[in-house]
Amino acid sequence: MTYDAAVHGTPHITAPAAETTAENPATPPSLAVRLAGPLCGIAVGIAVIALAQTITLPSIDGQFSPRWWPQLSGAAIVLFSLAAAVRAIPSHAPMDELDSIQPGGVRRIAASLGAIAAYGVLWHWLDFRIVTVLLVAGLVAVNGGRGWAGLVAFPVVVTAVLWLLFSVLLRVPV
Amino acid sequence: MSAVMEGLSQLNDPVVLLCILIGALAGMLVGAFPGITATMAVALASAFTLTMEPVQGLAVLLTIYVAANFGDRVPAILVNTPGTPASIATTFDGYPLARQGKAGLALTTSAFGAAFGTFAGLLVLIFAAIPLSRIALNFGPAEIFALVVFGLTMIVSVSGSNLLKGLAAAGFGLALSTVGRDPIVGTERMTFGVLELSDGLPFIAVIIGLFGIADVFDQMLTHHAATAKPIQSFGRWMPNRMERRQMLKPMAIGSGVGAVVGAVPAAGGDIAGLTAWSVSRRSSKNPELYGKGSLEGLTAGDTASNATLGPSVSTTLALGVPGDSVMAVLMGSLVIWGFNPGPGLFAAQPDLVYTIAGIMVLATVLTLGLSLLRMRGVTKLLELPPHYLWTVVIVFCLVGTYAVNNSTVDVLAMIIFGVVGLFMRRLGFPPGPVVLGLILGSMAEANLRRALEIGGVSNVLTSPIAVGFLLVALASVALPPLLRIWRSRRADRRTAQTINQ
Amino acid sequence: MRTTFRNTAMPISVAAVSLLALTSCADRAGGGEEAAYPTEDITMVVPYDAGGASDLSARTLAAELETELDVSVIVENRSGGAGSVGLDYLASQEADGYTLGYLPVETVMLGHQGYDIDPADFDPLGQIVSVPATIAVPADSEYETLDELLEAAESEELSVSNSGTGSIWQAATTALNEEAGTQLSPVPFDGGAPAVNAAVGGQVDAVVAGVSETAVAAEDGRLRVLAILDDERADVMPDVPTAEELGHDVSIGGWGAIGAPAGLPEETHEVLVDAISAAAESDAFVELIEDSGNIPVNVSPEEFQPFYEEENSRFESLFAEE
Repeated sequence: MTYDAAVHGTPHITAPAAETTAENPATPPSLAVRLAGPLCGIAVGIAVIALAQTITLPSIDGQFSPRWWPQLSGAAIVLFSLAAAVRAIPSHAPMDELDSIQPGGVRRIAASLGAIAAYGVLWHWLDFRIVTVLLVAGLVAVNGGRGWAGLVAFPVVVTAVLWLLFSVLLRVPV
Repeated sequence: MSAVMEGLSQLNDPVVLLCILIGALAGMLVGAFPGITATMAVALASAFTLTMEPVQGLAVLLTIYVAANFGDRVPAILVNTPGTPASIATTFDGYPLARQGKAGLALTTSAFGAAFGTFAGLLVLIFAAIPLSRIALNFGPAEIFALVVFGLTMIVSVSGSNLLKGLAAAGFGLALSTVGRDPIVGTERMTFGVLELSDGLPFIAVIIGLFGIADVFDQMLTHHAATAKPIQSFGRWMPNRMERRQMLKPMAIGSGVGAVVGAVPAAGGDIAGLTAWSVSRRSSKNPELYGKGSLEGLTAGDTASNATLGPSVSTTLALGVPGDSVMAVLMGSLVIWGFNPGPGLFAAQPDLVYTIAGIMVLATVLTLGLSLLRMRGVTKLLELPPHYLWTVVIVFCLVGTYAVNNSTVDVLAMIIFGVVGLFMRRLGFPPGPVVLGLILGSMAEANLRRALEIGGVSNVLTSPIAVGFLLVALASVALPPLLRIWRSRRADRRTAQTINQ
Repeated sequence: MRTTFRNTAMPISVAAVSLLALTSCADRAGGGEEAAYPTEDITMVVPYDAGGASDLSARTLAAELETELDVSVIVENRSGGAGSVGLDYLASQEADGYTLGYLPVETVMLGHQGYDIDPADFDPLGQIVSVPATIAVPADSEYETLDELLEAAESEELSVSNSGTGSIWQAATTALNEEAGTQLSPVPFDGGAPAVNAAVGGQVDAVVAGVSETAVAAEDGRLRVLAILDDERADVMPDVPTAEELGHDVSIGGWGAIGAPAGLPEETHEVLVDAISAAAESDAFVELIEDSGNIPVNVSPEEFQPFYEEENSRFESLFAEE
């Protein structure tokens, strides 16, 4: 199969498994890793509360201000994140079960997001069918696909299915 | 009984049967596409069916409604992307099962659960439409608020291993639900001047982002060809005897929950699925398996979300208030065909209920058959090498989400919440509570404020239904930990006694 | 921290891309000026979701327009922002007659509710539907007439449900308050049916809703419609008096028109006005609107324009006082 060769041919995948990431069950994660989640939560909660203060109040007083509910949810985020932070401080705290990050993973996501962004821009200049073929080919290439089956046949088939379904069958203006 | 015969005889028409077949195929197709909801499919189809005979048109629309609620489970199980919001709960156990190489079993179980739920819901439609509608009429703002508070207690179940992070995630969902115009006074909240956000975040796009796209990103991040286990087989298709017996209790729970939630106006399959999943988990002997590939959890959620179909139709017909968003669209067609939904309908056209129930029974049987057949082909999707699978999921979600509303903002929201979902996953926050907060948050706030607007705090506290639900909510949060303490104390005492002896 | 960054980055990128979407869609115009209009497919923008009452009216009219104009008329739903997303999009399109839109009453309301919508950006090509407001009470209510209700509302606050904050029905409640000096307290719900249902269930004292929404419940005897806020009585409820007959000069309600971005070429304007007028008279359209309980009308742009401007200034003063 062509794709098998392609997958195994890409360097980042054949690299030896780097199993030293923080989530590895063998070594307990550092305090910084354990606190990262709760601290992000606190930051989001504070941001929500701050944003709630920018909501303009109506001239007539109701039973409830429109700020009340957003403030409540922001406070809930802060409160529970704080509690989660306290619980995460002891080193024997239970860990989250996560797969470890592989080398090349971040690059794959960034490149895929780039391809999607380019698609959004190009769509306004080119026909839906052309840009979609390009996007599909791009996503396949970014994630390790090679060969004419992956870069030509597959994009054309996917685009044809999408176009038939949306443009012809559902009459959505794409 | 003549109404029954008269109603069912309407179906004895080859054109109607053809309509049901077309509806089933179209419904499963749109259901299987993430982003295109049953609501959108029914709305677009109603433009064609308006010119048809009412029974034929009803056959198309109702079958799409039923079939979309089967089709949406397929992407939920195979790629962790709910085809429509009704299958959010399906992703909790269906996807883990598929990753364990039990995709075949998950799809079959889900289809049987869904069919069972639909039949149970139809029984409600046939036998309890009128009494149910009387109860539903008593659900004003105060009562719906209390019901939603009860619903929010499910956060505890869908939080997974880390309850505190789950609660924080639910808070995030509640905050997201406030984006848009204030439901009572109409001032902009957290829209940053973006016009498209003034009706709130695009709900479906956010769900697809948090589940489907985030999962694809997570796989991109962690994929390792040497250690990745390709799914070699889909395992067995049919559940064995022990598994069939296991499914009975969650089916019963799912049917009950679905029937009640479906009857309440505006509450649909998404809420029912989540509720039944957590109720079933609480009463299960193996709650630790839930969320990791439990057949019970899968069955409960799918039975419940499909059990809402019958009661939703019944609320719509008997009350003239749409039972869910699909029904809101269907009601438009009904009025134009000359059926005026409302209590008068059952007196004027008693046979219509049986025609509708008959169509839905045929649709369910046909769709169940189709889904058992078709799935052998569909699971081939999982055999695709990951880069093809990821691409298919991303591209179909992109185009599907755009097509719903021709909106670039929806697509952007989907991608952004895909990234948000990835960060949440890596930081240990579960996505389920976010969705729960997002669905229930705006209902809770709007109905609470509406209730206070109408009659102040006493409006809530003088309603027996509202107080009842609030007490149940309190009990469901407070009782389990209390029981646990009591049990462990008793166990301690017992060990102490045995030692003394 | 990163999640926070994403949250704040979102509106900026959203704004940038939507701007891009709005400005770069004008690739269809040009060419074919010589041949008689229309030579290409026409797009009809509906500022609401598919399947709603406005969408159905627009779709039925579009089908009739296809036979009149002999080209395809494709309905495009662009919902959001209480209709402002679709209207904003329509206003940004070229005034070449190939993009039309369904103009709801919100066209003249949104500009005074904080949205960036200017009624002058549109050329109305004819009004096609009218939805007068009605005020109704539960069947077992103690109020038998509009006067009894208003009298009670002078001394105490009565709750009146409507389909949503900023809706025409909430504005109708305010207009009634202003005319009669009463304290009807509007309670916005999430759609017309839940608002009517709240009155049927007795959760509120009264409901203000479109005639099509109250007619069904009134027929079943679940609601008592006290008055219709229009110049004439409605065929679906001939026994219900107008507010004017009862001594309250309030006439308010929803309407629907077909419009184009302002500045259509004159010949195109004429072709469209004739076609829309013929489509609005067609049996299929009249039947659909009547079956849904509303009132089909066929008002020429000359007649409609002054009303359109009047409505605009009326809502300007109505919302200024809120």
